[in-house]
Amino acid sequence: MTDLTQFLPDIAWSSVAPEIAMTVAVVVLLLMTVAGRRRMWVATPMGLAIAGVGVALLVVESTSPADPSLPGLLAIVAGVALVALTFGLAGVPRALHAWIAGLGAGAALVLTAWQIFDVAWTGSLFAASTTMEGSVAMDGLAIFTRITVYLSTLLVLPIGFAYVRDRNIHRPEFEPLLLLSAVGMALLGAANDVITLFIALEVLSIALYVLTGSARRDRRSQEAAVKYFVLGAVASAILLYGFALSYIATGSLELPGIALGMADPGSPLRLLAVSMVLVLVGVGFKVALVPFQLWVPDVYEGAPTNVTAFMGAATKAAGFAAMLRLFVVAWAPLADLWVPIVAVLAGLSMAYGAWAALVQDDVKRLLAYSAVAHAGYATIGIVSLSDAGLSATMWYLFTYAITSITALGGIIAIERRNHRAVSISDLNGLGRTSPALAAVMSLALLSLAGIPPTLGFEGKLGVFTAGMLSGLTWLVVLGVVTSVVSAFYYLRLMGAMFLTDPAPDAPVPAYSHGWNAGVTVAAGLIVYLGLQPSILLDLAERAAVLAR
Amino acid sequence: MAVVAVLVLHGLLALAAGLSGRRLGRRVLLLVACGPLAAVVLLVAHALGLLGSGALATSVSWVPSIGLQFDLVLDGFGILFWWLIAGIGLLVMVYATRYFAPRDDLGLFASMLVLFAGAMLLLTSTDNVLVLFVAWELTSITSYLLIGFDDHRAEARASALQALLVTGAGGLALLGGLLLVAGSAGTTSLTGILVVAPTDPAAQAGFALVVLGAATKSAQVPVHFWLPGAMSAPTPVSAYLHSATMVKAGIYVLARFAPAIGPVVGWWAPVVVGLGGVTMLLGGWRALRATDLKELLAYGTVSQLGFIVLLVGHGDPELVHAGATLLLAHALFKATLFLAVGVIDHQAGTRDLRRLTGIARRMPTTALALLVAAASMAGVIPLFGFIAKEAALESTLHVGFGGPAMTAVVVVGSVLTAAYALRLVWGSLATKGPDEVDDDVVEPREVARPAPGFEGPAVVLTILTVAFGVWVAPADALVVGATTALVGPEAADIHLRLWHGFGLPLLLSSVALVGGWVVWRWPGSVRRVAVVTARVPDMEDVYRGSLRGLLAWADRITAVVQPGSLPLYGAVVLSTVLLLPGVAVLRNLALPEGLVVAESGLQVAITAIVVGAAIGAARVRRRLSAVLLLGAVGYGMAVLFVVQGAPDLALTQLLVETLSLAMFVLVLRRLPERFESTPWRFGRPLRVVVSLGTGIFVAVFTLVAAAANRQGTAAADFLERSLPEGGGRNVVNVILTDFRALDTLGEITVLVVAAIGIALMVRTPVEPDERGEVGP
Repeated sequence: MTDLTQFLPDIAWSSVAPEIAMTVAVVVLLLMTVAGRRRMWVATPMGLAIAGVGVALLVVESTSPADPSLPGLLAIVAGVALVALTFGLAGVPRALHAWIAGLGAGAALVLTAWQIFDVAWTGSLFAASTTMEGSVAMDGLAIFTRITVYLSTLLVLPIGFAYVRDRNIHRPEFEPLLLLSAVGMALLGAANDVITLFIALEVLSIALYVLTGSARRDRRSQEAAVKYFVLGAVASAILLYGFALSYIATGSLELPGIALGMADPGSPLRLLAVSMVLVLVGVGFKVALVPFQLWVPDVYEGAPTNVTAFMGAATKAAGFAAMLRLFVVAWAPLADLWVPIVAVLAGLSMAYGAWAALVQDDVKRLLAYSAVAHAGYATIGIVSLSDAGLSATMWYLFTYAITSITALGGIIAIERRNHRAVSISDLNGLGRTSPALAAVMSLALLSLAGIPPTLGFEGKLGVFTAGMLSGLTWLVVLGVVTSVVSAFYYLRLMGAMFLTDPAPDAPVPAYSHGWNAGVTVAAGLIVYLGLQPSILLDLAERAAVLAR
Repeated sequence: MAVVAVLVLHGLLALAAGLSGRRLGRRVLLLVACGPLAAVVLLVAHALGLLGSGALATSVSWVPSIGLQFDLVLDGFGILFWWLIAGIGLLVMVYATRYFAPRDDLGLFASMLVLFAGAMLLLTSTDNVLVLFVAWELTSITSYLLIGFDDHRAEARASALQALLVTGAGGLALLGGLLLVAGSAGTTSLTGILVVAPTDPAAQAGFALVVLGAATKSAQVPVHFWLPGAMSAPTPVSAYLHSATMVKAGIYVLARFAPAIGPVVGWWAPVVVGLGGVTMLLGGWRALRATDLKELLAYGTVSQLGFIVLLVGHGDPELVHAGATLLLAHALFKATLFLAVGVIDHQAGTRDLRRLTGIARRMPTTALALLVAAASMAGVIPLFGFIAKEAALESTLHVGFGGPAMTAVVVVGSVLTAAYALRLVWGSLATKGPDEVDDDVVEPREVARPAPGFEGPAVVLTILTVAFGVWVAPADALVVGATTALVGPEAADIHLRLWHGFGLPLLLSSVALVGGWVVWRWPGSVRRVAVVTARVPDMEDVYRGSLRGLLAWADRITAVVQPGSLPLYGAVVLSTVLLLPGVAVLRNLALPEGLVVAESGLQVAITAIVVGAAIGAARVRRRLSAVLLLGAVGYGMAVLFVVQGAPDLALTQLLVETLSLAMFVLVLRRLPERFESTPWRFGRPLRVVVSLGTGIFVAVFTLVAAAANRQGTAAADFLERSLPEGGGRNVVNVILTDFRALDTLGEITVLVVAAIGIALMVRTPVEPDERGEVGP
């Protein structure tokens, strides 16, 4: 008898545990869709299997250093919950799907926390390591990106549930696509070689293209999807070509290997510079830096608003994670070349985004241009090229994700009844007709403007401080100036809500339990973390560790 | 800790007032008055020495990692401010209970008012510049909401927004400045920065921004215009925020910086003092033309703020001392004036001095308070305002360089002050002849007598104005404490006196009073100058104009840059690819040596077919032809692979092409036969250039890459490990299923996602309706 275990590959499954949970949820959802009314036939074996894995994790002696008891317990709970949910929500399949998706995202978030405390945390720092032949990183950036992405998913699911139902765009594929897209984002944050990175990008992008066009009977949605797809495909092709050039020049697919090859004195620098630019185009498109921001307003406006919220919050976090990894790890030897270019793009983004947002009347378009400006702010942390900058960018993206989900959540409530684009005049007098909604929206807007003591202020302060420490004074001053301009249009929205009289035919916002829960949590986070950011800010600071 | 407790109490009261406003009615204002009351108790305890001597210091961490820390240091200067904020705050809140008719939203008002008081207390007691900024912005926002409190009036909303934009912009300038300065000094502690006193270019730019921020907040020319507009606020707000406290936040910052920075940064003193001087003159000038009593007071405030900036901006101990005195004196008399005017406005229903007459007889108490306060403002002996003015003249006469100019400005400014003080007294109180008032004059008989509680707060302040004039000691202690905190112990010997003896200062004071009377009595000569100055463009117009211009330009630019055209967007992305690497990179490119153009005639022939098909695909008008030509390109590539000796690659290519072609044809069944000839937004030549450029770019760099490929690739490694580790001889299979199995899984996921997307699109074929929307 040969020992079969010698053929088993040694894989640190713990490093992708949250993604496994999400993928299982996707499989369950897809199978249930196929099963239709006989969904119990899917739920029971799947639930048993998941719980069985949990029991195995608890019972079987583990060889890995990570303690599998929490994932084990979680799997048992999730397995049982799956069966119970299917039984309890038998009559409302849509709610069932949303709950299962939420279960998956929740489990992913718990597993991320488990990764932090049981796997990656050594003493007071993260330990960086890689797995899967070096193609997946297990470091601070990967884990912090997961927090942002999964929390965004968990918030968007309940906030948008009633919205997609009302608009008749709730199809069984909706949740699986959302979850798959989130998996792609999380993997993008963890990808440590260019092939994995590209595949993660494709998973998240294609899912988002479909989600953007999921309002099938809304022409704006269809148009947005086509634009996003065509331009996105071009950007992906350019990115891939850049990767090909860098592979030829350095002989490596892994990011640290690319850096090593680049540091070699004989490396073809000109070729590497070109590949750097191509990569910049590819990731710049995803994070919407000027001049690759052109798709943003149309897509933000056209996509269903809950998709916009998810896209704005989570895609940015993932895209910036990839950008950080590519530039700070792989293209680090060429920093003298890319830092000025990227810094100029950051400055242009801040200026253009803030300026163009001034004249928008459609609230979603306004937020789209402001997203361009926010991409500029987040980039300050990257060009700071320091640990402080790294954590500032991660932290900024987290603050932006929560804030923009809250703001778009407010629009969802109005749009549910309105059934058309929300213009600024639709907000007139909201402070009087729906004070709670107006208060939440104002909170989000103040946070977007970076006015203390909200979460957005903590975020901006972080990137500005990092920029100052790295001597990027001009960029920080530009950031401050554009913040002034941006405060104007955010406060303009607030002015409409509180200082004007409501129109007689003003749409009455509609709420749901899910919306209430999601928005309350998001708004609570804005206030609580605005006052008490240390909990996550410390984590972000210690997470400034990259696998190299 | 007592300081922290007071600050927290303000926050809690704000919350309580917001929640219970409806239930308490007007009593909610008394509830929030507990905040300032607690601060007053603290100050009294400190004055009596119960809390130990010297500054009160506490440190509370907020976000230590980014330098946000509440280092609270309440020193002499802070205590002076705390007295103003808490003392006047208390009186104003009591006054407001009588000022407002019962209304629903008083809770919000009280909440904002006490929040403002707390922010102001924090601003003047923190040692951390970032916390200072936070408090600064909080005062701007509460001020915005308080100015716009009467939100049914469009004018109130507009001026609230204007005040917010101007002071908010100033606040961000301040933040930029503080960041620059803190960066240079290497600390966010205010005292730390002042000890280091950095003078490098970044710090100098920072100081300039700090001055700009302070100037907007303290309504200095040319950004003063928001303050007169802010008079749309309810009078208690004007009295509290826009004369006594908030507008002095800028002065607070300037006074903190001046003694340390003035001596080391050459431009500081001339710029700041000049700013103050111009403001003093222009404010006084504009006050003479006002007909609205509150507008008159607002320009008077602008003028006095300029006066204080002129004094504290220099940094000289004696001048700072005079500035601190004026700070106190101004808060006392200007708050009195606002409260008194508020009473008149409330009872008479107007504050237009052309409609008021005979007020003195209807409300003698208020009239007396107003008279005394105006006299103090004009500098009549023995009131506290006189002492302040004497101290100012005394100190400016002692300044060496620029002293005479400063003295001259102060004297001319005082002439104007005396003149508008007379105008105020006459306009609000006097019994006027029929030719001096408008037709719709308010008959004195119609004016109801105010309730005693309404007049009380103004009376309290009046008593203080008189008392500090006669009995200087308590005011002196306060001012000396403030001055020593700013400039150090050498200022402890400068004291206030009511009587300086017959000297130049007294002479100049008298000149100012007489001159003021002349200017007020014979305004004809003045009017001619007014005609000239009226032509000077107002900064308010500039503000409006630039706001409009900014919006119009943004509109135009976005219309050009983002028309929503997909071809244009694609062209922009591709052009960036072409332009960003720049010409520099393309110079001296090393193409591979011994480049073989073609190995056989077959290759040339196939390549020609591929190129021809590609050009054809771009030119034909029928969709089906275009797709077939594209397919020809793909099949041509496959043949090239075969010729090159890579049959499996060719096979893959053939399969992909066939599949794509089939799918294309399926989709084309539903589309019109020909391409729509849409008018392009940019010309055909440009598109050709961009496309050709991109093609050449890709081709050239593929060649260059081939030339540069001198390092080992991953292939050798895979080949070596294939059999021992993967157990397979076909290295491609091993890579797909073993070495890069995760990527294969990911690729399958991509396909799954795409399949779901296609399924979603193919099912439920519904045509969009005209509105692009389907009902509820």
